[in-house]
Amino acid sequence: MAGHEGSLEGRKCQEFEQKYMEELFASVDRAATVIEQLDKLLTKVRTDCE
Amino acid sequence: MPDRAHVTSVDALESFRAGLIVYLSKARPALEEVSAEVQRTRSWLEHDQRSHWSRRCAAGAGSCRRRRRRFSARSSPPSARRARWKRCRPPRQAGPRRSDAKLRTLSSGTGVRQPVSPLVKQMEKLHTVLTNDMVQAVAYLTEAIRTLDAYAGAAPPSAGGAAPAAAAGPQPEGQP
Repeated sequence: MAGHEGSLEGRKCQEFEQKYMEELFASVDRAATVIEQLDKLLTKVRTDCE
Repeated sequence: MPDRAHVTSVDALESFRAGLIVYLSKARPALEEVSAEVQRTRSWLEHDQRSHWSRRCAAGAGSCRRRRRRFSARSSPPSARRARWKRCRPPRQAGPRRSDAKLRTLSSGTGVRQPVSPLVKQMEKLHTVLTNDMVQAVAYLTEAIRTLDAYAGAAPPSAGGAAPAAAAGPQPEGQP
């Protein structure tokens, strides 16, 4: 929230972002990579064991 | 410094909270669908495909035994029998060997369990974030909105000249 960095609003916003949003963004990025790997792996397994 | 804060972002917070709830309502089922797909593939491998390849192995072994008996029972000289057996053996035994290999892969668990398990664990971490942390985040926002609404709706302190909180709408007429 631009312009509010030093205010109570800005601090609360930053606190919320650090506590919840950063972990969410990092987890979503990791999960996206993992889901892609899983997709490739499951496709290979189905082909190999068909 | 004014006596009261001007609370102007409650609508933005409410909108963010609503968006977060919609996001969670879509992200969780999407993630659960991935886990279900992994489960379905495991079940397909451990039940359907294992029994399929076991049957193929058994059928292949039976057919090999029958062929051997047929060849050894013929009255032709042994050298001729061997030559005939060699001619027809490679393609006919490729099937059973392939079935054996498939069955070994399925039984060993190296085919899917070992590489998939760490990936599933990593994915479960996001599920935990969505079901625990983000539920707390929504609760935090709900509480913040409630507090700000209560603050904005509360009567201003008795100190004269202080502007009332402008919550989400325009100030009533006649206010300074």
